Amino acid sequence: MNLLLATPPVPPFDPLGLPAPTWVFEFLLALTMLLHLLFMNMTLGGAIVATVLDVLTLVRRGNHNLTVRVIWQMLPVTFSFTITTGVAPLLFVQVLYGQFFYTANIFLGFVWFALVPLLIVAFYLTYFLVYRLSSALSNRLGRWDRSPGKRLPFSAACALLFFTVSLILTSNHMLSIQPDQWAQGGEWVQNRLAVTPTTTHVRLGHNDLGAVVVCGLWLAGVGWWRRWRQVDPPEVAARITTTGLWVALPVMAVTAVFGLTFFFMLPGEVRGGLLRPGVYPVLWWLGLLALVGQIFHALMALQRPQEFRWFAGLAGCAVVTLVGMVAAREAVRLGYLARGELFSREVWHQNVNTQLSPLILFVAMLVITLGTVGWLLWVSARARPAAGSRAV
Amino acid sequence: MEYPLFEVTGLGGGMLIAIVAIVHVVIAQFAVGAGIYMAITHTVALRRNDQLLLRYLKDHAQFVVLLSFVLGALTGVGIWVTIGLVSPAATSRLIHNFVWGWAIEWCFFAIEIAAGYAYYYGWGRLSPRAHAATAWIYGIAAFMSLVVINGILCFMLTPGRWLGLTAETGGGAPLNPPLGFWLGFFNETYWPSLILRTISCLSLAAIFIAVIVNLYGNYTREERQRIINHGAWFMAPLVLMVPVGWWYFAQLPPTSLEFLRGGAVAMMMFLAFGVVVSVAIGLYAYFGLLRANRYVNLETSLLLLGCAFVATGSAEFVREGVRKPYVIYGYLYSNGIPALGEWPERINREGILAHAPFVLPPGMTPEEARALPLPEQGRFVFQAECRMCHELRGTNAIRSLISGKSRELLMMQVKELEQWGYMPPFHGTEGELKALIEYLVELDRGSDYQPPPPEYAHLPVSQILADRAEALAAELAILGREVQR
Repeated sequence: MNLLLATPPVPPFDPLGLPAPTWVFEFLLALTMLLHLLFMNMTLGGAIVATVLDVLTLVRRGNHNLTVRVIWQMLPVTFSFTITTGVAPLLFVQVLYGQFFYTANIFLGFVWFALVPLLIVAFYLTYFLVYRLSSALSNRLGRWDRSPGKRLPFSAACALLFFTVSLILTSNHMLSIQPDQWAQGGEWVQNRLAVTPTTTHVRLGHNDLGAVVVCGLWLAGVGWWRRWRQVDPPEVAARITTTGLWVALPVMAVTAVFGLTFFFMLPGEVRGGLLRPGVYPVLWWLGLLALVGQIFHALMALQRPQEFRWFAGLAGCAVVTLVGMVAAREAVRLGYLARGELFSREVWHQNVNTQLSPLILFVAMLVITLGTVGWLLWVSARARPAAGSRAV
Repeated sequence: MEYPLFEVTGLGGGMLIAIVAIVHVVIAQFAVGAGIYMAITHTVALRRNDQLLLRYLKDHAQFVVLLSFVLGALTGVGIWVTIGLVSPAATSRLIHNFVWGWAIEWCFFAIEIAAGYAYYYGWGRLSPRAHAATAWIYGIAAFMSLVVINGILCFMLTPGRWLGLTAETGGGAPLNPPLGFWLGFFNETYWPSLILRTISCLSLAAIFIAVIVNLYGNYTREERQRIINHGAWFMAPLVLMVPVGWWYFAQLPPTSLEFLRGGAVAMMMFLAFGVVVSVAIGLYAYFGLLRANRYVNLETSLLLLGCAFVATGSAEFVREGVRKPYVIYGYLYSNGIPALGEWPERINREGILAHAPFVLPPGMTPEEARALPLPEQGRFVFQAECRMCHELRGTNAIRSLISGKSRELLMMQVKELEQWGYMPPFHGTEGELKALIEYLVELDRGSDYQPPPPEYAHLPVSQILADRAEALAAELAILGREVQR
């Protein structure tokens, strides 16, 4: 009997194979993961930032009531889009890595299932708080606009719930890429977070701090938008922008330190995968380069908050950095799975059975979706409150 | 079989899926019906300049956002999470066959969410034309998501000609993959099921309207009555429920029909519940709401909603139940063992334990497992073949099913499991069958045969056996002393 699981049993690849060439799924996984990260980071980071800003207001380190309200007004929509955009990568992960993904889910068991009630409670808590705040969009006057003490327990609870969800997802991902961790202490893992704690915590820290950065950048953009649309007086809108950038810049540095630590904690062969020539490593390096661009544009936006180009550049660089992070995530996954020859991309290539007409229909549908959602955003953005609505 | 087992002690994985799925189906069907209602009513209200209906639509949209976008969306994720935990092999097959279907449904879902928010936040801000357009986009996207998901749900019960195509490749992808996709998607029950689900969506929306208008306290009794009676027209298609239901059942596989004709009493009873409650709701809608224009208060509307919940739950339970012994009809048994190709024969030859590595302690080989005492081997076989549906105690409890039965009777029954109709046949070697029977006999005697403690996992099998022998000798010695006394 083996003492260690040198070769853990991995379920076989699905007999129905891949219904399109491998690169199609890898591209779709990366694309939809990028979309998911844009919204998820705002939601997770938003709850954390709102909590911290409420604490700062309570201890009289500035008045952040307006910024907190702006965050909470966005959260229900970003939360919905976090869920919606999260479904697609979940789908494509199952196509490519189902045998690892399902196994990790089952080992986490009830911890994995807990995602659902945790998210439901977090979503209703979000709405509970939102309906106690004013909203020009909904023509509603709130009672907790200037009550950080009342908001704090709810925003902290939301932040805690989101953090727990991110912990579960990170643990699930780490367990799915490390089959050698499936058995611990002579037993299969069952109903618990069971991954090398240090690596997971560092990765989790990197992800969650990254969410705070993205939230800061969102806020900076929203501040610019409110100034341009004259929703707020220029000095008030500039305060939202400044707060966002002052959140993003220092946390960006800490996030980078966590990222670097995680990089050096990776096993040698996995780390090597990020340094070899290839699409994922190149995208990762571009992402790191864009980080410098982010810092430059953020500093310029702080000085000239009325100029659009700095915000556009900042958003562009942030997206490139996120693309780099998605690429690094996939490279690390492949690096881990390649250890012990548990997985090879050959498995995919040998099992491609392209369903061409459904694939074409999907691509057409994706274009229609982007067009329709774009149109909906456009008409919503152009709309102005009706005459006589309550100004808040 | 090839995946670890997610144990939901007492309740069972199937029940967990049922709980999450029924809640989701009710909310998701409401969301579809509510979308169609919103689009039609918004247009009608604008044309008639009906300010009451327009005012109600704003509350209606808020309720849709709070129920459908939160609980509906997250229980939808919950179904994915749960089926992946309980039936990973079936989920994987469905994903690999219908990933483009699901991806298309995701597109509609994304449009639905964007349009829903645009509509909700658009009150007083969007032009009337743009606002009506958002309502129609929401309604169409919601309905189209049903059009897509219906194909995949029906496929599980009636995979139709896809089954013939996959049989040619021994259970692999059909030789013509796109044809396989379309034949599996537009299967025998697709159209009747789509019509039935659409009727159900509209009826649920009408019932929810009565609940919503009573929950929001800003309407007079007359206003509530007018809104409810307007909404009741969406229950009119209920009249088609019986003929379309007949069409649906006519498409079912013969064994499934047999269950509903009395072969499985529980299935027949649930079907009867569903039909009776649906007909009762339909009669109430026609005589009470449409002909007599009666008012429905909050309590009655909640009662109606409860009835609709029972009807929908029963229908879903029956749809899941009549698929037995398969999870994908004719293709994959409910315990995750493939029904096509070389697999059944191969498992009979090589043994189930050779293909179910996660039921054994980590590192233990099937050969080592076979050296263990029969009841312990049998426990592993039970975990691999039966545990997915049978708990020891609780849902589908194996203890009550085997209670008082002799070894010979159990052997005969397990050998002829498929005769029962809803049970998959036993797959495995003769030795594994004997081991399973010994385990069941021990279980009936009251011993649960717990797995060896973790420290055993690190020991060679000879050591485990020596330890067991020593423990047994000690027990015998104690017993001997007791007898002497």
